[in-house]
Amino acid sequence: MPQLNPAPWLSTMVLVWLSLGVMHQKVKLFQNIYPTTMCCGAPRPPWPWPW
Amino acid sequence: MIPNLFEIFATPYLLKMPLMWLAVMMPAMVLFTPSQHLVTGRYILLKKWTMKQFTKQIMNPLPTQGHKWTVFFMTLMMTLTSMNMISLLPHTFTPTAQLALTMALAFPLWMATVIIGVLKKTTRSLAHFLPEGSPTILIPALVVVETISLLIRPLALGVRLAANLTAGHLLLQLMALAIIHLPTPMWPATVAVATTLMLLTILEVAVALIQAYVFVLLLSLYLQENI
Repeated sequence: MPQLNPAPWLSTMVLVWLSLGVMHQKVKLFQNIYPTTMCCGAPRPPWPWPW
Repeated sequence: MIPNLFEIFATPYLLKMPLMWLAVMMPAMVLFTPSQHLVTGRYILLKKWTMKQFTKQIMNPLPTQGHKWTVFFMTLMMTLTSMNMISLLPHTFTPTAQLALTMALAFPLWMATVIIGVLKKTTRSLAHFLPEGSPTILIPALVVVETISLLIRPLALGVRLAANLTAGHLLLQLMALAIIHLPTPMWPATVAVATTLMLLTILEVAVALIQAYVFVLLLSLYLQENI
């Protein structure tokens, strides 16, 4: 059932933007550490097989 | 006693503490944690490849000014994809089935694209209210229709994601309930429903990925119109 009490809505909105903010910083860091050019190792298949 | 089928969409509680924050923050806490290894391994390569494919697909049509939105769109895509996929595990909560979450994303982002269009290219963004080559007699009606179409975009964006996920999860729950409650002599029906449930789960995986992609794609299209 839709919530009419605004508090859960507001907390959800704040939480989702907080989550996006944290993820945004992590993605920026990831892009800085690992630029999208292949380097530093032999090309491997892009799926996590153990062999 | 009729069970409440929407109980699965209620916020889970542990010792009277709402666990909504855990469900929403889970992708941000788990994904893209910086590794101690600088040399790429398979997992990092998989992430890089995924990001590159999504980036190329979504950001290609956008002009250069729009490319500053790349990291944000990829973040949004990864967050939505991971929330949708995690929710497919049994007994988990679906954050993206909550209108509060989807509207909290859709409305401000749509508004941002409209404000960018109005501030940077006012005449061009107003010109979108009348499609090119429309007959003169239809102009008043078309302007009204296009205005309504513009104003309904955030609602459609938010509700599309929430409704797709809600419907899928509800269907999965209904079929699971049917399998549990079918009597033993009706085992062929149980097998048939179980097979359908497995196929539906595969469909739900596809829907989870596609809906996240569609959300970001539509936002990029709205940005493309206004930038």
